[in-house]
Amino acid sequence: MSDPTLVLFVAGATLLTIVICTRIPLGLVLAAVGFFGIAALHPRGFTAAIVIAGQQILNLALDFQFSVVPLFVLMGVFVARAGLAEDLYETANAWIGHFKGGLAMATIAACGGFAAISGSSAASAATMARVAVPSMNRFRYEKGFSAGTVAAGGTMGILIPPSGALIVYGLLTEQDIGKLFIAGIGPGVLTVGLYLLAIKLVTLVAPAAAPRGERAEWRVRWRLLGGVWGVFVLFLLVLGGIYFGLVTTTEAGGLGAAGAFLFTLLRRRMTGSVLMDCLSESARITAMIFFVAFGALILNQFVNISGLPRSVATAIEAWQLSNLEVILVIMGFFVVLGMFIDGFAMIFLTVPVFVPIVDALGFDLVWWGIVTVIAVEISLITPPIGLNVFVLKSMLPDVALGAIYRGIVPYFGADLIRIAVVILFPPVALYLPGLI
Amino acid sequence: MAAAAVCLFVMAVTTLADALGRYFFGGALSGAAEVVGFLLAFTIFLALPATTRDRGHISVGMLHARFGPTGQRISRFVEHLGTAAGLGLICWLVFDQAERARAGGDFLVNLDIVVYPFIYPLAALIAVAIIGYLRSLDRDADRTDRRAT
Repeated sequence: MSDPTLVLFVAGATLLTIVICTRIPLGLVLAAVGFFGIAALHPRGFTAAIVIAGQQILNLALDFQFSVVPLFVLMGVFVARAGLAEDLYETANAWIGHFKGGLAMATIAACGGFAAISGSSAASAATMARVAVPSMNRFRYEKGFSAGTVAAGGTMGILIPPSGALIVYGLLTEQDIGKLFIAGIGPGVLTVGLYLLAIKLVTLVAPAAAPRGERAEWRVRWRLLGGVWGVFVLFLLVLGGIYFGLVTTTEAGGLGAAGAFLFTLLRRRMTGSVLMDCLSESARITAMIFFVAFGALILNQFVNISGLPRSVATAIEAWQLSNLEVILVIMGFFVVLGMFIDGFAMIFLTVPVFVPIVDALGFDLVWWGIVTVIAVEISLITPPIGLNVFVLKSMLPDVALGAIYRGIVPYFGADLIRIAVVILFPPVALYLPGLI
Repeated sequence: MAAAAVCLFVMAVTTLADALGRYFFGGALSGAAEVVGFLLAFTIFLALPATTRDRGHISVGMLHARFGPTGQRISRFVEHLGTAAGLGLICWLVFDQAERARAGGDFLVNLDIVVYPFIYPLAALIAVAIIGYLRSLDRDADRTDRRAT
């Protein structure tokens, strides 16, 4: 058995070097570092590492509860194929597009609606860029602002349930995914509210950046609203079912996938080959998620065996840091890490290290899941590497990267307020799950 | 990938039938949880070869693009070696679990069948992913050579 501090240091340095310098799949790096770390620290060496790491892989792969991952992924893939994003945007636009900044507001509202049935940020951003940006260009919105609006709006895909990021967090921490979903509702609504407020402020400071759109007739508004009933039905079916205890999370996943399939069928977008494409894409995403989860769980075992959470708790006591100060220090890590790594990679890298610490401090892990996902959301739009910004840049090559980042500034301000509110007032996230 | 897609489809149908059975027909499907567990595992591992071959895994490598040609060659070599070795490690771990399940006589409580015959194929699928990955490197190298000439 070796010195845990030395092993942790070597493991951490190796992990970061390999992850940053090469494109080896993250899950494999996490698994290898975790495996050799366990072997170095456990009294039974490699024998223990083989058993512990192998059990982590099989326990996860064979646990029927985690079938919720592919089922919700499938639901999101079906919904994207159903072409619902276009209808959501058109409807939001008809209702609020005629206000100052209305098209940007409609984009945020449509992103929120799309997020309620799809769990991916990049998919939300890519879909909405195609749908909303041409319309904003037509009304001479400032290009950086319109691109920034879509990039920021797209981040809501991983917070508003059903969220891929929350499922992954639940999978890694063994938290109730249903509770995590319900906990995401309050902060999700807060996000939409703060983003709309940010747009309002932009229209006051720079009215030319976000002018009014066309006013739609009431008849048209109601007709369009009738066209997006599927979103409400799916949302109610999934989250209502979980909230009222009618279905388990896994069953909600099955119902959601079946509902999305029927919806796509009713919209005449489903053929045999489309079904096969959707299933293949979902299976591929599932393999991708589970392979990183295997690695993260093995690393998690290593972190626990190393005694890191205990050491950190002791250090916190010695430094007389308050719990809030610890959370702020971790947030500092998130900010720095988020500049270079984003999306699922950040969740997989931070959860095994931070969750045991946060747990040892007595914080609610459902609340921490929401805080983590918000931090990841912010990382998706912060320089130098912001995944959603790059998605927008690839779809709008004539808009400079700097202009998109400038367009994001108002939303970044809203994000800082949002994360502060959720940290300082945990009931924003925990009130609803407390009622289940 | 088609086999993974079929597994996923059957998993979705089984989950739905189980839920509907519980609420509308007074009873869940017997052993559905165990069947869904195995379908999940097979969905993951059947999709692995194509996901690995198409570089569909999450990776970071933000410094890779900043290296010069030699640095990128070294980084790529480490990437290929690391990916194959990492998958080899996972393959070995799963194979070891199959051996232990066989030695221990582990079985599924509801379906009353032994587990190990289902775990060996999972390890075999990882081996298939490794072979497919290495062959895709060969093809990439051929393409690069043809471009160079």
